[in-house]
Amino acid sequence: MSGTCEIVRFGPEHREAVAELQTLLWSPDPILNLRYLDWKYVQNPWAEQPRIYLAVHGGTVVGMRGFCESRWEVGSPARVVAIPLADDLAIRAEERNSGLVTQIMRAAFADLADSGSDFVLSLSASLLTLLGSLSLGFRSAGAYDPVVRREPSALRRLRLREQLARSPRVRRWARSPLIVRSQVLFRSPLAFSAAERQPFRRLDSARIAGDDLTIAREPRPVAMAELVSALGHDGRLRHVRSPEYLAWRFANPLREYRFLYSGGEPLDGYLVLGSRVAGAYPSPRVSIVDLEARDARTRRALLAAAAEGHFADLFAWSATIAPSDRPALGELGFEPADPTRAARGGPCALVRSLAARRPEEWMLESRSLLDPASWDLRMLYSIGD
Amino acid sequence: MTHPVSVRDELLRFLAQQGIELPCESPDATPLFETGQLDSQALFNLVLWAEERIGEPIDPTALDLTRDWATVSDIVRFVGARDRRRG
Repeated sequence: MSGTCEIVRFGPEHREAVAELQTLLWSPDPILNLRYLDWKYVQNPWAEQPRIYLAVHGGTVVGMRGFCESRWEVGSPARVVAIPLADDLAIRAEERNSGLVTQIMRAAFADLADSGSDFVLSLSASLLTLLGSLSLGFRSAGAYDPVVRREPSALRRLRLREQLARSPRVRRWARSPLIVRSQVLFRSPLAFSAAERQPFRRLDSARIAGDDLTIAREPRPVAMAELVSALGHDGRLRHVRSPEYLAWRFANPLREYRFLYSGGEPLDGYLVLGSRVAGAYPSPRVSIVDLEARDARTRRALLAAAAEGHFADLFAWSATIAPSDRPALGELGFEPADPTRAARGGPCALVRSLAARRPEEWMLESRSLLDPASWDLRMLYSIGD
Repeated sequence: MTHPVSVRDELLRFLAQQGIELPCESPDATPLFETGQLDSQALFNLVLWAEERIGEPIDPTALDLTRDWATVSDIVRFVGARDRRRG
């Protein structure tokens, strides 16, 4: 069927159709999806015209891939470069396995190259998207090595849910559109504990985490950006963390954040925790989205405070945490999150050149984009934290 | 007398099960990725199929898929090399 699909660039007339299509990925609520769409592609500090490529069949939007604007700094002194982030791949079930993804991506690559982009990144690919991306010429820029810290009671619940999920009857019931859309599972006390449904409840009641740490619901973009700037830059590729970017980034309508701050004004450090507000399927996961501090002692105190939140499922990308801080993760009870997937190379950052260059030539400021040592990656940059 | 099914025949049968249509006259040399027929779900299944054949996980990020698995012949060669390495 994809042979008759037309690939077009997103325009305001497609908003509702995209919000409806993205009930497959973003959230079951099209109204919330509209807010997310506007936040991500219109309110983005660098956005001009949203770079979303749509597959349209008989006037209906049946597939899409978005490219979110992002700015990266690299080298010393730092040069700022624009690299679009590939994200938000969604294809209607009846159009899958038909070459439509390839059709969308080829059109997108040509258009992005015409507009002056040299490379594209993909920072939050699922295993399926990872494989599809590799077949389209993306290469790994380094694995994230995810780790997780689970409370024992949450682990027991998880195993019970996994057992139930293996039952065909339960699986059919749980995945039925009626159940998903009405969020019956999410509301059911049998399915998720209060701590899983409201992961920040315990942290919010603590307010002061001790050791000169405070907990807040609001970001402090100016103070956070000042800390990042004061700590300097070693020349590796990292996303620009300006006050404008941070203010926008933490306004994500599909996520809820908590901020652990060390020190006053100026800050000595911060750690950001993120949790999904409403997904296609509920998730009790809380992620360490970003961590910065003036010294190792403060970083360790921030990590320990996060662990003391007693989250059912506290998740981090260990490869994005400074090597000197990684032993602290083990001491705090973190362990590899998914060894099976790690053996298959994922999850990882993906990069692709938009010009016909050999992979050895994928360079910025003399740094190879395929060398994990060239990157200072953080979950913050991936949007889908 | 029956012959054991070759890796190639098994692979062709597997790809047909995935709905991937290869031309009868040159199935071994047809580029798999250029047509877009081998989508991410089919590729995922293909990785699982290859893992089952060689008895160990495959890290696809360590490969250049568009070159190393470009055709049926390339995949048969890949699986054969891993099989031999395992002894």
